[in-house]
Amino acid sequence: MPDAQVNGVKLHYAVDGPAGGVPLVIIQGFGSQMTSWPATLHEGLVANGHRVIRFDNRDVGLSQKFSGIPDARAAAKALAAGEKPVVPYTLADMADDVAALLDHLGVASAHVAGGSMGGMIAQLVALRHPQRVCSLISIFSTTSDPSLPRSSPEAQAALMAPPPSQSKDDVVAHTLKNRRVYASTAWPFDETFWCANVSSNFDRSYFPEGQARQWAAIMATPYRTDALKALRVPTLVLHGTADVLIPPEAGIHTAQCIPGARLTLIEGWGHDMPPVFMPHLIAHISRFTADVEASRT
Amino acid sequence: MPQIKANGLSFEYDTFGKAGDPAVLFIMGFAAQMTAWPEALMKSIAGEGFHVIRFDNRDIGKSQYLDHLGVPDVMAAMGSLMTGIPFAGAPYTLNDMAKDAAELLGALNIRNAHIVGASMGGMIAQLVAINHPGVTRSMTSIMSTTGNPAMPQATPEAMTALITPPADTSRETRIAHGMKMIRAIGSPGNLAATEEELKVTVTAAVDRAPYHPEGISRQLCAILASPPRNAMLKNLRMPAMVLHGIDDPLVRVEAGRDTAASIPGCRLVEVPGMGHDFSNALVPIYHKHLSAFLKDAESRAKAA
Repeated sequence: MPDAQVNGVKLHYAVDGPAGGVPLVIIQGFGSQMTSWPATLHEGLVANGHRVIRFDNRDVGLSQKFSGIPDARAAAKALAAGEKPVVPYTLADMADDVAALLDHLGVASAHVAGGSMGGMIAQLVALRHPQRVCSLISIFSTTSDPSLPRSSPEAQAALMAPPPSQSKDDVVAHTLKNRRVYASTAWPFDETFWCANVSSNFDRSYFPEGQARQWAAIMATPYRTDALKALRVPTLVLHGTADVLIPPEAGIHTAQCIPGARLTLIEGWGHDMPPVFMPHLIAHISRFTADVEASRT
Repeated sequence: MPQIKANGLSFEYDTFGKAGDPAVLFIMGFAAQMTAWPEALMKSIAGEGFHVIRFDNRDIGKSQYLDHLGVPDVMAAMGSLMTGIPFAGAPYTLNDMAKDAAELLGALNIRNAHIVGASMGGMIAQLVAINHPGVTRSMTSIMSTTGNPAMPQATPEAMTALITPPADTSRETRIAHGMKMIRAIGSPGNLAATEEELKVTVTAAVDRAPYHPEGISRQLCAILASPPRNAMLKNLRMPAMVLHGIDDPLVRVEAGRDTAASIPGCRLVEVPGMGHDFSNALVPIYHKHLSAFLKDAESRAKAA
C-alpha cells in the first residue's frame, strides 16, 4: 500500500477494485485505522463494482504523526466563545486531506462515506468540496449540534479511558472490553473476530497520542446544522437504534438537515461493524450509489 | 365492532383513542383480518395521541364478500406473473382496495389520516398515497413491496406455506394450518411468537369469521393484477416510512429497500431477526418506530 504527500501531510492509502470502478472513499472514525473495519466491507463494495479508496487519517496508522498535546476542553470553550481554538488541525483540515488525496489519485469526484468522526469529515468534504462528491454517506455520525443527546456516560468512558498498561495484551483486552460497551445488541459480539482484528491492528500501529489531537480536532470544529441545510449533494444517512456512543437522534438530525437525504435506521445496530451485518451495509451503500449514478446519466 | 358503507361495500371496522386526534388508518395484509394488528399496538399508538382505525379489507373477516364476481383463475394469474404481464382477469385490483380505504375515511368524516399498511396492506397504503394524496397525511409501508419483479422471490417454504390451503375446513385443521403458516413466514429467533401466543392468536382469528377461500383467491388476484409502483412512488410528497424485517422469508428485505429508495425522503427502518409477523415480542419495536415517525410527520404537517 502506497503513501501520498498531499495537503502537506503524508497519507497512507489503499485502492481496491478496477480502474473503471465507481470511486468510493471510506473515511475511518476516531483513532481507527483503515484496517479496523472488516475486510469483507471493502471487498463486498469492490464486488459490487466500486473502486474503493481507503486511507489512514492523519495521526493514526501509517499516516503522518503530528506533535504537541492540545487542550481539547480549551478548544471547545474557545469555539463556543467565538474565538479561534488553538489546535494543530481541525476536521476541516482532515476533509481537505481527502480532497487532496482524490487529486493525487486523479479522481475528479467520488462517493464519500465515513463512519463516526469519519462521517463528520465526509460531511465536511461535501460542504467544502461539493464538486468532488457524487454522494455523501454518513454512517453513525452527527451534525454535532449541541442540542443533540450525548453519549451515554459508560460509552464516553469506554471511548476515552486509557488501558492499564501499554502492553499488547492489556491494550487488546481493554479495547475489546470497551468495544462491548457500544456494540450492537441485534447480534452477539464476535469475540474471536475482533480479538484477531484488534490484535493485528495493534501490531500495525499503536499511537494513542494521535487520538488526543483527533479529539481536539473534533472539539475545535463548529457544528454543521446550518451548513448542511444548504448542502445539495445526494445523501444517505445510516444509523443504529442501539448506538450509545452517537445516539440515533444524531443520524435522524443529519438526515433532517440535508435536503432530500435518505435515512436508514437499523434496529439494534450499535457503534460497531459486526461482520454479520456487512452484507447489509454493503447492500445499502451499493443500492444508494447505483441510484445516484443512475440519476446522473 | 361497527360496520360502515364505503365505496359501495360494507366494512367492519374498529377504533381506538379519541376522535379528533390525528387519525391513523391501519390496512392489513393478504388473507388476514384486521385483528391481526395486535390490540396492544393499536392501544399504545392511540395512547400517543392518535385516533386509530383498523378495518377488514373487502373479502375477508366481517367485511363484505364479493362472491357475485366469481372465483378467478388463480393459476392463470400466477402464470401471467411469470411472464411479467399483469393479470387481466382479476375481479378487482389493489386500486379498488385503496379506494375502499380512502372512502372509508370519508365515511367516518375523517379528512386525512396517516396510512399504515402491512404486506398487501402496504401495497394498498402505497396506492392510497399515490391515488388519494389528499387524504394521506403520511404513508408507512411495512413488510411490503413495490411489486418490482426484479426483487428476490420468497423462499419456497414461505410461499408454499402462504398459498397451501388447509387439508380440510374443520376448526382444528385450520388452527393447526394457521399456526404452521405463521411459523413458516414469521420471525425465526428471539422475536418469534411463543407456541401459546400463536395458538391464542390463530384460534381467535379462526373463530372470528367463517373460512371463505373464494375471497382469498380474489385478493391474491388483485395483488397479481397490480403493476409495479416504483415510478408512481417517485412522485409522492408526503412523509413516508418503510419498515421491514431483515429475516422476512416471504417479502424479502430487498423489496422494502426498493420501496424506500423509490420514495423521495423516505425513512427506512430495518429490523434484524424480524420476519413476516406481528409477534408480541415485535410490538414494542413496531410501537417505537411508528410513534417516532408519526410524531415527526405530525410536527412536519403542522409546520407546513
